Amino acid sequence: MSLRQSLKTALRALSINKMRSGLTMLGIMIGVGAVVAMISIGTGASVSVTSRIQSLGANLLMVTPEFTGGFAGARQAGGMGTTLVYEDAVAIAKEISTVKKVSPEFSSSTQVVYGNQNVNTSIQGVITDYQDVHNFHVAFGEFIRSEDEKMQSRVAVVGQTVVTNLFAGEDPVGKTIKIKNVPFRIIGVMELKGQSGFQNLDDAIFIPLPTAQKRLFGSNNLRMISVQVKNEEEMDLASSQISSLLLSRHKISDPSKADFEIRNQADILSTMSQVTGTLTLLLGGIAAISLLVGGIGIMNIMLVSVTERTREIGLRKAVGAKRKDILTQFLIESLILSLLGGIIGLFLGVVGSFIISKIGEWPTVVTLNSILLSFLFSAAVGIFFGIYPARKASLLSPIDALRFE
Amino acid sequence: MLIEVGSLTKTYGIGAGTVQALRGVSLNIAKGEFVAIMGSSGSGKSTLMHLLGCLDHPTSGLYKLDEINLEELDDDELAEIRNEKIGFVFQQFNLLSRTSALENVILPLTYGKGRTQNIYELAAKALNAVGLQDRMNHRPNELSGGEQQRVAIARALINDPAIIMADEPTGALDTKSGDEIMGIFQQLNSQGKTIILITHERYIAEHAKRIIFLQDGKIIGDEIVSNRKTTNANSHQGSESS
Ligand SMILES: Nc1ncnc2c1ncn2[C@@H]1O[C@H](COP(=O)(O)OP(=O)(O)OP(=O)(O)O)[C@@H](O)[C@H]1O
Ligand SMILES: [Mg+2]
Repeated sequence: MSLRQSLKTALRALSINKMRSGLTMLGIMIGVGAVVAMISIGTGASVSVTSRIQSLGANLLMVTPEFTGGFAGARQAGGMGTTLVYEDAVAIAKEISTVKKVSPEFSSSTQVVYGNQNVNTSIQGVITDYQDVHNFHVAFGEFIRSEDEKMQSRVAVVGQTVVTNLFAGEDPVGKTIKIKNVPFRIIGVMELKGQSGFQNLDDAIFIPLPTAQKRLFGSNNLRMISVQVKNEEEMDLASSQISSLLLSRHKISDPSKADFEIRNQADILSTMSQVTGTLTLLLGGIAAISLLVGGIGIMNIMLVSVTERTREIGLRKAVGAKRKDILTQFLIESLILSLLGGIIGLFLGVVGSFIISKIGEWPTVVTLNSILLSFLFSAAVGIFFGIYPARKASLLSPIDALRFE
Repeated sequence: MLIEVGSLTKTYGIGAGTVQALRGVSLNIAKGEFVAIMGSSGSGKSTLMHLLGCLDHPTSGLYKLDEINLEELDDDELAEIRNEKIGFVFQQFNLLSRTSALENVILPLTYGKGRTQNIYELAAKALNAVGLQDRMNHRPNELSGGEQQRVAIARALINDPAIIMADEPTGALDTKSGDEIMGIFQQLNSQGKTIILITHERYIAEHAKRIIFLQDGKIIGDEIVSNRKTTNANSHQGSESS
């Protein structure tokens, strides 16, 4: 039997039970749609996380306090270790030749008041070099100068989100806000940064580091020291130099007991992509189960169909159909069900992930790979779950089939 | 000899519940014969036809069709033989539902070798031969029983087989339609087709040229019909004369 004939026969058989074929395909549609949507959500997450982390700058090392003991709860409470101080940052800048610039940073969340408006936002205590280290600059007005650090002046630079939330879009430069009841004069507005790593730097207010530490929060500690390395090739060297410097400054002889942690882009990237990879796998896996259920639905219907059409199979065999002919006929039927269901499901999945990205504001990425994968997968489902019923049909003996009531 | 059968037996089932449907049947059928096989219910008529029609394997015995020894062939090779040499007509017509008469008739061609051209022409010709030229695009549920059986005969004819085998082809029809069917068989036989017909009605069997009697899986009689009934196939009137 020619392929064209087989296709025609299969389509006719499927169209006789349109409702049933439709419902069977629905199972595959949902399965493939779910796989495509879930993978696009996972991929979207990993792509956006990767790009955000990359936007932090390629030659950046981040030194953060690390707890060497005590309560795990302490870490969550403040997110602020007690081990890194301003002098550490100064020492790194001064003594390590591979380092270009250093940005010691303090941060805390608090309420900020302007007129009768108030918002909760993140206060970043930074120094002048912050701009260059993070490649994050002031858009208009000016940034914190070194005099501001020395004088612990009460000046602030605000992020774009703060402008929207607190000033309803009007020009904030020159205005005065109150942070913890202390008045600050706004001297500049930062450029738009976008979600960056784990924090949203657009929703932040930047003030001189000493002002933050001494005037506002009464703390000597740093949340982080960001270190800009001169050469990307010297990242590892710089990292180990910083490590030994800090170990000796903190008088720790055993490196495994270090009270700080040094991470670079690659570390964060690999951790994050591991997380998002697992997420993708998990979502895809759950969706694949529904595809499996859809496949079982196909097998079920094909088995019913074989039983119903036993006489037809007997007749076809009587007039000369070979095993192979019957096998292909039924296999093509299940393939049509699964592929058609798969294509519609693919469409639903793409539309679904588009809707998710629009409504849920979650980035989704539909890759060619996920399209090919779902296509192959639905074909495989059709063959895998179709082969048993088709084989069963092909092995029927013509007389048994003809005698069948 | 077109068909040569020696000591054919067929046993169904295994162990205690076996049924010996055929207990050693030997017979020869020459090209151009019109043979009726008669017998009471359960005598093994259908079983014999299934074996003669290569639909089943015998338990033991010899079978040569057109000088081909069938014991050595596997299922797919038998399917090929059925496709090329034998046309079947069944009591229950066995047409594909929701499929036009024309499509039903071409079915054997779709499983045959080569012949992919003019299949609709061939099918139209076969339907013409059974007087259904006006009904080609009707579906089985739009046809009477007699018409459905004529579609089945057209289907049996399409591959121009040497033999037509019919298992109680008139069993589901009234006398008039039955007579029409028998008329068509007689006409086909007169054109040289070998016909093997199974029936338990003496009246139907007497349309053939030869009757073989079967009882308990054995041949108990083999006679030439002296007083043959004939029917005018072309008028489809069912008029008979002796
Ligand atoms: N598949 C089978 N399994 C077991 N026994 C069978 C099978 N087919 C037929 N038989 C038995 O074989 C015997 C002959 O059956 P067969 O169908 O050949 O009879 P028949 O002469 O065609 O009868 P009828 O006129 O009723 O159609 C019967 O006793 C039947 O019960
Ligand atoms: Mg019978």
